[in-house]
Amino acid sequence: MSILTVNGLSFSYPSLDVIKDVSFEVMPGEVVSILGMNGAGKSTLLKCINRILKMSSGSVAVSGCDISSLSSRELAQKMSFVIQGSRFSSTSVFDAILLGRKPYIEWDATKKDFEIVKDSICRLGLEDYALRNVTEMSGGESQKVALARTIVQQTDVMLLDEPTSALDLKNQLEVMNIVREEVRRRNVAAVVTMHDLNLALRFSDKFLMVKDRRIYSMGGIETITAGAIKDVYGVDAEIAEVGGHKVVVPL
Amino acid sequence: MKRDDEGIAQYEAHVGRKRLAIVLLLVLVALLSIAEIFVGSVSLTADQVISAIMHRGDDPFSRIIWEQRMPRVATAMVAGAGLSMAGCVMQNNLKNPLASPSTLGVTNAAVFGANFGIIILGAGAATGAYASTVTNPYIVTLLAFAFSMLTVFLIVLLSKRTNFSPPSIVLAGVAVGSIFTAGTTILQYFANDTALGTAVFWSFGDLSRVSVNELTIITVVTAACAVYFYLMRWNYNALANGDELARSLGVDTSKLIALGMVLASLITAVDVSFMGMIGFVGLIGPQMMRLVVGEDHRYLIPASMLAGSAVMMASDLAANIALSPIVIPVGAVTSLLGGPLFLWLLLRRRGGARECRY
Repeated sequence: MSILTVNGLSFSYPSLDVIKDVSFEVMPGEVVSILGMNGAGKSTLLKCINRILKMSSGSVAVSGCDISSLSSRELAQKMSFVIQGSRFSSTSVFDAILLGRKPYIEWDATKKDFEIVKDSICRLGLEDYALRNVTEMSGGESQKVALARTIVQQTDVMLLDEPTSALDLKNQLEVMNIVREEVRRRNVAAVVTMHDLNLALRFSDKFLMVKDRRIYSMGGIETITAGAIKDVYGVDAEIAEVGGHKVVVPL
Repeated sequence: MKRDDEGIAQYEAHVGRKRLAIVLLLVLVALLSIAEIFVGSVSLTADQVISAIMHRGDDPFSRIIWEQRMPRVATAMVAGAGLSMAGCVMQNNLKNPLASPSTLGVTNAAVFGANFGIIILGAGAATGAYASTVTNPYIVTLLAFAFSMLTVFLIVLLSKRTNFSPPSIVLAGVAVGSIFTAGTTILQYFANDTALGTAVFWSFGDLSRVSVNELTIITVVTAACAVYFYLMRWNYNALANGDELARSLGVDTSKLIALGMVLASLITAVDVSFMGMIGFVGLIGPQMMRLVVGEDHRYLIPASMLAGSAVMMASDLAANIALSPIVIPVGAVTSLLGGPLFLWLLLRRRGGARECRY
């Protein structure tokens, strides 16, 4: 059964259609990347799925529950969101990650919450920074903090809005590895918007290409062809294979 | 941080330092309240103070302590805590380090409301050279409150149109504040001597004019808001990282922001209308504490309250001692101390790790 079902989702501002009739399904254990030009509506799509923006029509279901029937808190227990260019308030890294437990906290954080936070800190190799101020972290480190916060939220679906856009090569790979590992480990799903096609090709199981506010294609790696790149990005490209990885080389 | 159980102990020790800061602030507030009891136009010895506190009687010392000084100390403590807490919540809700009752025009509106009551509705009369009294304090208070709420409503409405963008809110506050200040000036220009005297005297923030009944109202409002704000501490922490993150963590941000603003303004309105204008406490209390305990509202809210109490009491001490036996209005002292302190905070912030959010 699919873990995330998007059905006929549309979103428009009063005078502008942003997304039109988008439908797709995501299975447990899958990393899906959303590809498309700037302004194609990728971020808006994620925000509609997470109810940060109210969709004009359509429906979204997580693990079989229609999101419109869930309270904000229940939704936050099922779906998490890593915002593009996360901004942190001035607290320790530990506290910043602890905030991911917010949907479960009744009166105050418990020992169990602390344990979960500590585990994620160890898993992501943030031990040395745990008690440092998160506002003093580098871009790569703070993106890992944002990921750790999503991981402790323990949701079925993680939405990530350009998690790698401001990172160096090493951090890009680390961040995407963390995402894929978490998806596999808990058999959940991640939907990621990305600009780096090669990174997307390397880490995703499925690809959702968006063009002119609609879905252009949705499927496995076979859907990424020179023709598709030309149609979606308007760029001539060649698909090659290097060291066992499929890569897109713009011509 | 260590990978075993000690890691959590390390975190708890880290948090323990914030708790220690709060305990130290408590001690400071306790010391200041003891000092405050001794300060006033009549000098009392420690023995006299202690015996007056232990045996409430009809003797002059006992009456000075029970009817003048203890209410004044309590007012300083509660009002300082309330204004600082209101500033803390406003700053976080509007994501604006400069937000506070005075910078959003809420205080100016309350002053206008009070002036309207005193001058137009004739709710005031001068009695003697130094004292003028408000003959109908509840009308003045009610009007001060009504106008501050009107301001909050206007600001929330104006900023909603711009999706709560921080600069637009402060600009709206400045605009609304200056309209009310102009209104106050016009009212005062056409007022007769008596009403003008009362109105001007009213606007000097003064703790000693607060009656026990009024103190009860201030305390109940402040305590109720404190409970609500503390319950919302995790929501505020989420909000401090941006509206979108807060919503993805299950926080109803619009409701949280709007209710927080209304309650913060309620505190301001009640305080200002019973005491007159007392500026800067709501700005510097939370700002100082952000540097000490960070932006974690589990600790920032109580720390801001205590810091506000401390600032207010220290200012009241200074107001009583500086030109003794003349007592300066405490509002003048908070602004006099608060202005430079705030400038220093601004300069520090500029070079520091974290800059203004806009």
